[in-house]
Amino acid sequence: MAAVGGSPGPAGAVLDRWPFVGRRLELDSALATVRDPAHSGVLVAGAPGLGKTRFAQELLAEAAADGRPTASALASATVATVPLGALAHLLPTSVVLAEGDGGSLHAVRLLALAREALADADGRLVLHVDDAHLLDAVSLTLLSQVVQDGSVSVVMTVRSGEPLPDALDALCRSDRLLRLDLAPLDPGSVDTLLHLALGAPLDGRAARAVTEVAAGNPLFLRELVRAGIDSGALTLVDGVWRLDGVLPPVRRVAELYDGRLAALDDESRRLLELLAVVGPVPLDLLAQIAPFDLLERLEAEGVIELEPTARPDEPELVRLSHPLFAESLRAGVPSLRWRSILAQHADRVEGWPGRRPDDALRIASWRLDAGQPVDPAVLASAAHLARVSLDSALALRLAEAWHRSEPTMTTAALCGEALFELGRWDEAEAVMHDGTSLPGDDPARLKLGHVRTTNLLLGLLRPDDARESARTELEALGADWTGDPLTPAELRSRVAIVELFAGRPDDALAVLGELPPPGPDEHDARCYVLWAIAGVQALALAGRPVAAVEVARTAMALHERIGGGIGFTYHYAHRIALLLALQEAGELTEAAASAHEGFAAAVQVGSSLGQTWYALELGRNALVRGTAASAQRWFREALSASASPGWPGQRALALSGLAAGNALVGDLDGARATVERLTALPGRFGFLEPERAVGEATLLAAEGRLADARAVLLAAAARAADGGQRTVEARLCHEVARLGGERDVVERMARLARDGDSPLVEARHDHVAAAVARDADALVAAAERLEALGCLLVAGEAYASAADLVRAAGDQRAANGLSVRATACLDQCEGARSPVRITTDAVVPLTAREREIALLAASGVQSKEIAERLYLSVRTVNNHLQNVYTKLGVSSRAELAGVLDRGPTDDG
Amino acid sequence: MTPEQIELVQSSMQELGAGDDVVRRFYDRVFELAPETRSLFPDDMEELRTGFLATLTELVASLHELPDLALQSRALGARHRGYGVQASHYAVVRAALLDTLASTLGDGFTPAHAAAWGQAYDLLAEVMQQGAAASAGGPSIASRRPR
Ligand code: HEM
Repeated sequence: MAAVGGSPGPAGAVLDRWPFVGRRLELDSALATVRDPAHSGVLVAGAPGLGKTRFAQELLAEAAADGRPTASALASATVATVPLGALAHLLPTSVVLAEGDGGSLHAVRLLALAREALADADGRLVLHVDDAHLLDAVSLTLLSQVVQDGSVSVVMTVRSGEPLPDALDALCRSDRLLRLDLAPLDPGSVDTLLHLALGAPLDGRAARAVTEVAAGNPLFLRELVRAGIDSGALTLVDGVWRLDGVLPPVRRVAELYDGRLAALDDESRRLLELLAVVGPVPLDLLAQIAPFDLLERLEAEGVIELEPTARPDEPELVRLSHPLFAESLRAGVPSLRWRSILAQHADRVEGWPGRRPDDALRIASWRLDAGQPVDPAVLASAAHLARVSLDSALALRLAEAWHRSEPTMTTAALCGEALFELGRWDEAEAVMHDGTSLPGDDPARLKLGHVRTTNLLLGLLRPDDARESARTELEALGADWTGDPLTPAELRSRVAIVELFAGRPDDALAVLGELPPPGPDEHDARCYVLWAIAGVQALALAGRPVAAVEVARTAMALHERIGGGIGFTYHYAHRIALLLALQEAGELTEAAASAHEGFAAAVQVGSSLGQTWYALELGRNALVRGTAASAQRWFREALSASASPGWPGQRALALSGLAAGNALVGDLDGARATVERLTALPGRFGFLEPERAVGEATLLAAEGRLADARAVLLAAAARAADGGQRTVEARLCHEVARLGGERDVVERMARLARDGDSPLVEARHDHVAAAVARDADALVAAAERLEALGCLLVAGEAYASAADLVRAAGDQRAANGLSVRATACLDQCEGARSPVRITTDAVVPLTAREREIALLAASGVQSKEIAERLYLSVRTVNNHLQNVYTKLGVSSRAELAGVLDRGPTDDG
Repeated sequence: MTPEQIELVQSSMQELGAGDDVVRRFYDRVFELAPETRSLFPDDMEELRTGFLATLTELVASLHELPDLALQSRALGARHRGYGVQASHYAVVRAALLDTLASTLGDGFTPAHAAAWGQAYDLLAEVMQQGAAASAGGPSIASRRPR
């Protein structure tokens, strides 16, 4: 170990492992955290050379002394190229090679297996992950999950001062981790460290010189002293280290190893370069490549070391003693030599009897980097693994390599899928179009068709082509299909998805046909699940969300039972579907809770599409409630989640929702800008498309242009009706009614309420019917119903209208009571300004016409223009306005704007 | 530590002598600074007082002979772990020791003395804590040489 306890002989002692000094306080608190079940571990951050790895090793040793199982994983630039590379040695082969299930094991299952493997240890595992900033995406996901659930104590080191990948950055902020920032050692600790390491005191001049240059960096210190002793500048005279001459001219940590590199002999350099390029190498293998004397010498010089292993069955690995050294070495390797090192080492490991199963992935990665052909079987499993892990860039690299060496429908589908995820939709279509004429069996053809349809539908926004390709395949099956009996159901499901996303739930339900029985055998169960994938949302939108919720729940349970084996990638398909059904049924609280959960899960696995969907649903949820600020927040979240690669359909929904949220809180400029961005987007995404109108309509209403707002909404309602998106139609009709168009929509809403099963649609209809009938009691009943569902904004408005009616009938006390109830609802709407709300504050209520004119006037529109817009005479407008002034007790437009809480806008 | 600093520490240690009173005040100061440490010690401190001073004197005398010093203080540190002593306590004892020295030696205790004693204490404390720590070093490559 340290020189302490051994003889204070010069160089030998100095090159030994240095003592651990000056960090005991931090170590104590880190250990307390690792022992605490409420924490998931420690994040050790610091500049290179400050001793992060050493700190972690000391911590692990303490944990081991407590009786905890420990393990280490070293992330490095080279290991990162294969998914789960850094953690592969800790996981069962079946996980690393994505065995079983033909590679279609989905990400969540896979990660769950990996998590189980880690949690399986005898006691809570303490896992040291070195240089976590270099981890591959899959390992990072796994790490985030164990930090979240606390099944493992993680000790992570991260180099500070470098940008972190998003997922790691989020992980570093987790309050389940204690963050320790290692500072440079103070001069006193440097002195102690030197004294202990050198085994004798330094004289004043030497101590000052070394301390000054090393700036508290232990690695720097060690290298300086080593170089000083080598050059003869530092000598031990009469039991004291003295400095004669000058220390080597190293000024920056990054230059630390330059001197050593220059002095290397060929044999050492070859060995060290190998370790720098391929990462740690098993000692047994290394001993076949290099004489043991050389290994011992390099160890004595402190440049290589044996990596401590946690498990007896793991091979002992030799690594470079510091990542900075590896970086310096790599920087000096020309690319041709780099390739030959990789290729040679791949051959070597392949022919080595001590090879382990997970080496297959590493070999593949080395060969890829070396530009060599790779064993297609290994590529296949690597590509599948990368795909389920949502690491699309890596998946593409592997899939393309496989596609080049052995093009089939399967490889085309894998390439297409990765390209789709990356937003390179044209390229995806090109490779999959060509892929249809490549060899492939039925499942491969099915898979290819599925990915291609999805790309056409959601990426390229070409629903007609998507429909054509899906329907052609379905029809080609014919009645005498003798292949996999599940295929027809899969194809129907695909066609139904096209119809659903084209905004045609009726057509989706038509192609799906009768809902199959959920059992008893496996085949029935799969058919049921396939029906549900598109059927739940179609059913919900078509007006039967309550029935849809039932189906979704059954399908989820069945899917859990039958496991994977269905060619759909997205684990969240069912959840999204259930969510939509709950939402349309008016189960807003449960929908929000489920969406929150889903969102958190999507963040964890790093799925931007998942995050987008959940955020959209949460935004819609907030809009239906009328909680304006939450709506803004979630639609913004959806926008940023969908930014890359820019899913156009989802972005349109997010923009429209955001516009509505902006307009509701009175940010008209923001709303206008958002509507403009929305108009610039392509419009071929039918799913929920009519809802886009809500953004523009809310803006128009806020500007006082109620009639225009109604017209926009009515046109959208007609589009919704055309494809059969009936719950959407009901929502749009309700908006029309809120803006004064009750009579235009009441009959339609009655029909929608009668034909469907949604309590929300019914409550909407109750509200509108009561308003048309001017029935105060019915209005209150509707308001209560809406309030119970959580639709606070419209509930408040319904109470307010009821208050107007009873006040007009002369019952001031009842009116006051209802006004209070109205205000109670509206106050929970996070600053939403209802066009109706002003009337609740007036002693004498405004009529609808007065309200419309008051809003326009308050936004700065002149009487003449108001008259033109509303087809009235200027005199009538002014009369109305005068009545408004009297009722509200104001005498000018400015005061009016103040009362209505609405500044005049420049263009009105 | 520089050789000059070792000199300073050793000479002032001699000046301190074997006064029982000094050690009493030292422990009083420890308990004043960190009352929670009192429960770690036995009720009767008599034996400990002489033991502490004798050991400290011995350790200071071997500041030049690091290997000896290390051997002793590592074992001492390992025992201290058993007493329930934590890293934060070492800072308390450091402050108490320096305070006691300053009040006992008066003007003879210069800033140079304080710096030298501080370094000496840190050296001892680090080695003691090394002795208390679980060993983190893995096996060496050399130890794996095939026979
Ligand atoms: C340079 C620093 C220190 C020296 C030289 C020292 C020396 C000693 C010696 C010689 C003993 C007698 C028992 C034995 O040899 O194991 C002792 C006991 C003890 N020391 Fe220290 N000590 C130091 C620091 C500390 C610190 C920081 C604490 C924390 C509060 C501490 C707490 C104790 C306790 C609790 C005992 C008595 C345990 C018992 O007898 O039950 N010591 N110390």
